[in-house]
Amino acid sequence: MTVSISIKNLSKKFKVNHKVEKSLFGSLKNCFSKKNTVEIFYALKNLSLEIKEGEIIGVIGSNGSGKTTLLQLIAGILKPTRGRISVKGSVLPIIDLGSDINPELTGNENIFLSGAILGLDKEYIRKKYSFLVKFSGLEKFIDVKTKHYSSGMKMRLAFSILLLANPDIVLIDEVFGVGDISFQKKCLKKFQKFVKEKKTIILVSQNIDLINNFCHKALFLDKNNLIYFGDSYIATEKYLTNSEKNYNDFGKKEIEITSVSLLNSKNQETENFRQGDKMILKLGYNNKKDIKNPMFGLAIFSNNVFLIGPNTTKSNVLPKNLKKKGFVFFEIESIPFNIGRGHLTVAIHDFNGEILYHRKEKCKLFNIEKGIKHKNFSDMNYSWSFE
Amino acid sequence: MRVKHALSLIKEFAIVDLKLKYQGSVLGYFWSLLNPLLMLITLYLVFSLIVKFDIPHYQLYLLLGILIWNFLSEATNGSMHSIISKSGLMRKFIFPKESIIIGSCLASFVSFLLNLLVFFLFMIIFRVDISLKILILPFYLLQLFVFVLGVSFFLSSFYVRYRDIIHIWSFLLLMGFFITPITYPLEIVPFHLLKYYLLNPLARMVVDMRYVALYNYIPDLKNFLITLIISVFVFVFGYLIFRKRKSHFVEEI
Repeated sequence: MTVSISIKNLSKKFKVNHKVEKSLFGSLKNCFSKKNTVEIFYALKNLSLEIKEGEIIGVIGSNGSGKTTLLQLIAGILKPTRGRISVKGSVLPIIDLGSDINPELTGNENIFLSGAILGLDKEYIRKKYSFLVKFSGLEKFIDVKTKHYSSGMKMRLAFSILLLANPDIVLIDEVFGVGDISFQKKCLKKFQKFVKEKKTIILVSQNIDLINNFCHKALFLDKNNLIYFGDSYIATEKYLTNSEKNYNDFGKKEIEITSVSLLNSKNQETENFRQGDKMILKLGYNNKKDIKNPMFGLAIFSNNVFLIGPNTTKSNVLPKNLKKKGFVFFEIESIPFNIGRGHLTVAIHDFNGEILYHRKEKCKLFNIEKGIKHKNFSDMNYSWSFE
Repeated sequence: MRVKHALSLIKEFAIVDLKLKYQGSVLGYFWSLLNPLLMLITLYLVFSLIVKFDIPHYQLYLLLGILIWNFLSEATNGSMHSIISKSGLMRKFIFPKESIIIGSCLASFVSFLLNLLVFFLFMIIFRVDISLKILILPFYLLQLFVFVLGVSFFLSSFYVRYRDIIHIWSFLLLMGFFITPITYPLEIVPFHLLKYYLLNPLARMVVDMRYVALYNYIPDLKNFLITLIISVFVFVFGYLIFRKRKSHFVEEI
């Protein structure tokens, strides 16, 4: 597959004038007053990634994390402040539907105006006209000025016009909530057709299921930085845990979990494992209040089903003199889990598990691919060690 | 491909502008003509009853001046308005932004031409001779269009950032109206000031166009060349500024 979109060290800077002075006089005034009202902020910082032809990429992140800016940069609507972005083929941005509809024109007139903006031939629009009107479901209102349309109708009209274009790359920004259920179904069908035609698609959405179901890969942006680019499930889970950070962290932290990482047999940090591989969980702790005899425990989930919950008390492995700061290793000799996605919850309790010191839920995600499955998880071999 | 895209967009934008102006009716056109006609009546009353100039066909003299000035004012203000009203489009699509300005000016130019037809109708009504010399009028019209387009490019590229330009411009237009021989003859300008007075290229254009359209007279070619050079210069200057600033429009609007 050839590269469709290549982004290197892309940064986009915006100047925000807090006191909006859109006038010559105001600008002059600002020149003389010492108060600086202009704030510079980066909508995207040092982003590098490559998207191949025919890939479907999801983009997730909270509002204002730079998702739409990224689409506008790819579409060429905005110019990058720094870095390079090269796009192969024609781009169709489906952003902010309906804002381009001129309220004083009829639906029919809007179709031809928008068609011209898309660079479509007038003859071609005429040929597709009846199909388009039928798709939008606006047959009765097509010769009515669009200011009399409801907002849903406007979006339906705008979306239908866009479908006339035949782009190589489609950028979709939160538009799968457009119109009523029947129109949404039509949109989804069209989306699937794009997929079948092997178009490169970039999909910005808050709909986690949509990203998980359709996207090969996903991009998680947070505070204008790229947090993760890869497996869409891991991206969406990271996004979910990130936005629920405060709800996934429990306890007073008398002894705190400082780091959690997953290592493979070569001691490299990774999220991808195969059945039969070795998996090591490395857990950093800080015993701030010198708790004697704590219990380290974890819960392993596979495809959202709880599998096993080992802890140091059960295994009777706790060393007599635990360091104040250190690491606990949990090692699985040969992964017996099913293929799919899994996650981990780690916790530190007192020896009997009665007092909770610190628990981090869903703090680590992993991916299990097909390998050699030796055993059932019930007779899984694991060991604890300390450092 | 890009040029074809731009041309079809210019056409579309111009048609939409005209459509919205006339709201698809013949009556709509008369409403838009009403403004210059009412102005004509007012100025005619003032300048033929109170201040008296010895100008043949004064009402037509006045009308042509008003129509030219009306075109300048409509095209420049219309361009500034359309660059803002197309901000939604610019945020979503890539298209040649020049076509917004050209389309808007073209729409104003078409209604100017329609108004000129009314002007010729008046000429027939007032029994003014129309000769073949009028065939050179299109050159003057074209030159005026190029000039107005240049001014529109210049104004709109800054209007995106500085919204009070429209107020400054409307003041300049008002001032220009009085330092251009629209209501009065060129002859009343004191001779020692004429040199400075003619620095205003519109003064030359208005005078020449009147000669051609109304008085069956072919003006000095030198005059035409001067205004042509100025018009082309204004156009190139305005366009270059527009081209330099257009990539910032999306962020500034």
